[in-house]
Amino acid sequence: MAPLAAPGHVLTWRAFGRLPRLALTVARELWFAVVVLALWWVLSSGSTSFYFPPLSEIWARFQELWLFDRVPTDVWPSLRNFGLAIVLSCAVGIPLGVVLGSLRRVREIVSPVLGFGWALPKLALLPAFIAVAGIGDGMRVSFILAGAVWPILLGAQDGVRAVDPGLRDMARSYRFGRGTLLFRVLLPAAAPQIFAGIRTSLAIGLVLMIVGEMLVASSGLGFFVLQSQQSYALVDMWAGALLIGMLGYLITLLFTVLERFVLRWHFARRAMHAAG
Amino acid sequence: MTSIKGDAVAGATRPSLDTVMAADHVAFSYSSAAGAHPVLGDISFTIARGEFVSLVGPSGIGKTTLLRVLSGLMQPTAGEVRLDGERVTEPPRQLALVLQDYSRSLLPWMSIERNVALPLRSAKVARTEVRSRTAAALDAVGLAGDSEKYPWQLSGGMQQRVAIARALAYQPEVLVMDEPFASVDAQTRFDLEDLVLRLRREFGMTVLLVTHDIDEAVYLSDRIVVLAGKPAQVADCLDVPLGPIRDQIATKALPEYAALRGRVLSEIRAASAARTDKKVG
Amino acid sequence: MSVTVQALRGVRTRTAGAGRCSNLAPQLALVVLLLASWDLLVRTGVLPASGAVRLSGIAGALGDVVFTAALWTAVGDSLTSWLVGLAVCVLVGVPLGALLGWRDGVYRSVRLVLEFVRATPPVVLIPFVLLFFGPSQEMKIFLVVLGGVWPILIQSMYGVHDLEGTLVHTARAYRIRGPRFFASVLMPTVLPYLLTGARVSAVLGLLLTIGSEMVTSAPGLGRAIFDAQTSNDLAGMYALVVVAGVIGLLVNTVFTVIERKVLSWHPSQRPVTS
Ligand SMILES: Nc1ncnc2c1ncn2[C@@H]1O[C@H](COP(=O)(O)OP(=O)(O)OP(=O)(O)O)[C@@H](O)[C@H]1O
Ligand SMILES: [Mg+2]
Repeated sequence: MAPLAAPGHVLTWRAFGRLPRLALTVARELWFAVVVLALWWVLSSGSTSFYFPPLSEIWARFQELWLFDRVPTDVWPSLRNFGLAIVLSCAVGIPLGVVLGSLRRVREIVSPVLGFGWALPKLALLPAFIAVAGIGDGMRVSFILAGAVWPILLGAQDGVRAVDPGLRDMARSYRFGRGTLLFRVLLPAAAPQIFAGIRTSLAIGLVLMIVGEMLVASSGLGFFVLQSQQSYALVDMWAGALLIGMLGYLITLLFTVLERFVLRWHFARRAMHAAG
Repeated sequence: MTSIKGDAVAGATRPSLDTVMAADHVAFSYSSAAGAHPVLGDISFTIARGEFVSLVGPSGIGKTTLLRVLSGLMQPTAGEVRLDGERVTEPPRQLALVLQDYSRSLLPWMSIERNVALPLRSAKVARTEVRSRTAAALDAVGLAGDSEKYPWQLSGGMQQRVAIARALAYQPEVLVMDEPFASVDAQTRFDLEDLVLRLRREFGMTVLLVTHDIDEAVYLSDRIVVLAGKPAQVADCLDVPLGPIRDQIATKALPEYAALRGRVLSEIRAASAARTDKKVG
Repeated sequence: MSVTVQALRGVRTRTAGAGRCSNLAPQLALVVLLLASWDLLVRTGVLPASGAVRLSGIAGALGDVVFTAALWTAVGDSLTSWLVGLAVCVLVGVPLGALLGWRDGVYRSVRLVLEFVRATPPVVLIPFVLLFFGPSQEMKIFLVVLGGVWPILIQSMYGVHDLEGTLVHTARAYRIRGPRFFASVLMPTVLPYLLTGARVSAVLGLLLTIGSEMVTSAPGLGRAIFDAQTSNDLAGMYALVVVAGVIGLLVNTVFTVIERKVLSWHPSQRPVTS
């Protein structure tokens, strides 16, 4: 706010002074990506290879397919299922993790079961899910949920477990109620680990979503990519893979922004400790 | 000291006065895999309303342990603690505690102001009052200008003052502090000592202070309780007849001050020596 | 000094052991309870009989399948491609990560591409890799490397970054060099990071191995599970899922044991008192 109130010439002067530095930073971050893309474009331009069609063709097809013809049929259902499963994972994993992190005895008793659930390669469960729940959206959501809930649960559990005993003593000595203890002390303290858990869940959930669609669905991104390959439409396949990559990157990016915002105290503190 | 169990050290309990806090044959052992490790053995003393009592003793004797038992964070293995005549089983409402690890008792995700206000909010104090009490407490410890900052942006001494401000804003009947001035520079320390004395006069608080600094104990207290032995017991209880008003320069220049200081020091030395002897023997 | 440490360790192990013993009964009870409720759900028809199998059926199928050569061939196929893939991940990821950690400029330059590739779920390339390699071990290994190399690479980068930050200066100040630098500064700093990365890579690699087997019918446990389902041998399918879970548990346990052995001095290994 303050710079806006400052005299105009000061503002412009400053902005000019910073411009080259900013440009340099951006250039340093971007040049490699630009070079990779340019190389791909140039090297593949005359390609007659079956496997590696020209990037220009892939890009043209990408625009045809995803801007925005097939979004309602192939992209939106996938993303909706994925988002729903992640939200449900949080809704289930965080409370359970907090409870397990707080109650040592219960945690010790359920730990073998949790260990098995965490260690089981979730994809192995897919046929069982199909057998029990069919191949509808409900099955797809619960399948992603079954894989994505563990990192969140374990993150919440470890985060609550690691809450400084000094903070617990403080909360007790001031007679904080359950609500204050939970929302003002335990959850914020565990938040960095919960977020780390969600980050892992996003990656796992994406894998489960795509494999699930490859194996059982008749729509969705995973289905589209596999279908294209099976009908030898390699350009389509690459366009689909490109979209999934972009979506994955975008989801991670959005999540990072959210994390930076919610945990700004955490990052600011860490930056300060790193500097000083 | 090894007299019949139940005997209190002279001057430790004063049934005639209006007692706020009483430790009645309190004993405590930490239990570990290697068995019970007795730290406190049969401790009895009382604190009168409005009194300022310091607890001194060599490092590792069990001062923090005693404080945690007195404030209800831990249960004594024998005996009982009473506050206003009621047995203490959980930290009581009338008590505020400033722990030794002050920096670990501040919430890093909240501004200073919100840290200080949190106990009041949790106790459902009205909003306007929370605001005024928080502002007053921060002002009293000289942090009025830093209320929007976060604990980790402050120096150790400033963090300590936040913890003290939080306790002051809570306006407890009994303020219990564990070496609260340990990590501040000398000048700040004097200021904080005088601040506590002033606030205590203003609010009529009872104060129990743990310190390893003999000067501080003599300067601040009405009475000093010396702990010694293993397990720790009340070795002595000294009155500090220096009057209610103290001054960093004038009070410390008094001959009584020097005499008391000498006496406490020699008792702590004796206690440490006894501990070392026992360990060697 | 070493005596005290030994003594402490003894105590810790003993208390841990004691804790485990007193919990064994309720732990078993919970497992039995869960299994029993599964059985009940199937028997009462809450879970459809077309998809769920009673406990006795699964146990019977498990008993049968354990003694078949087919199972062990499948497990062997899966574990081989997983292990080879993991080895390649380490060989590729550690030096690359070290380079990025050492040279901040290099890291900044490739960050965008790195993050993009890392955020892309590796399974999208299954169809392409399948075209290229066919349903083979090579295909699975390629996928495991594609997905599993990132955690190791990133952790290696962090480790070297950490090394650069603090310890190297101290080591320089005390003139610690050569083999001693390697043994007393480099390894203790970087190893915890590498083990963390390897653990995540291992879990991810197992997931990708089984996933690619299911999608492409490359030989292995994943394919066996899928085949059992398609041929409507549900009991056999659940038995194989149990086998997969046990393998996952073993992998996890092995890593926990290694971490405990190698990093007994490291903070993350200290018991949390609560
Ligand atoms: N959680 C614990 N478990 C087991 N033993 C403990 C624990 N906390 C403290 N002790 C032991 O109890 C004894 C007293 O510790 P305490 O912290 O009460 O001493 P102190 O007088 O406050 O020391 P200082 O002046 O250094 O703060 C010490 O021997 C210590 O080792
Ligand atoms: Mg102490």
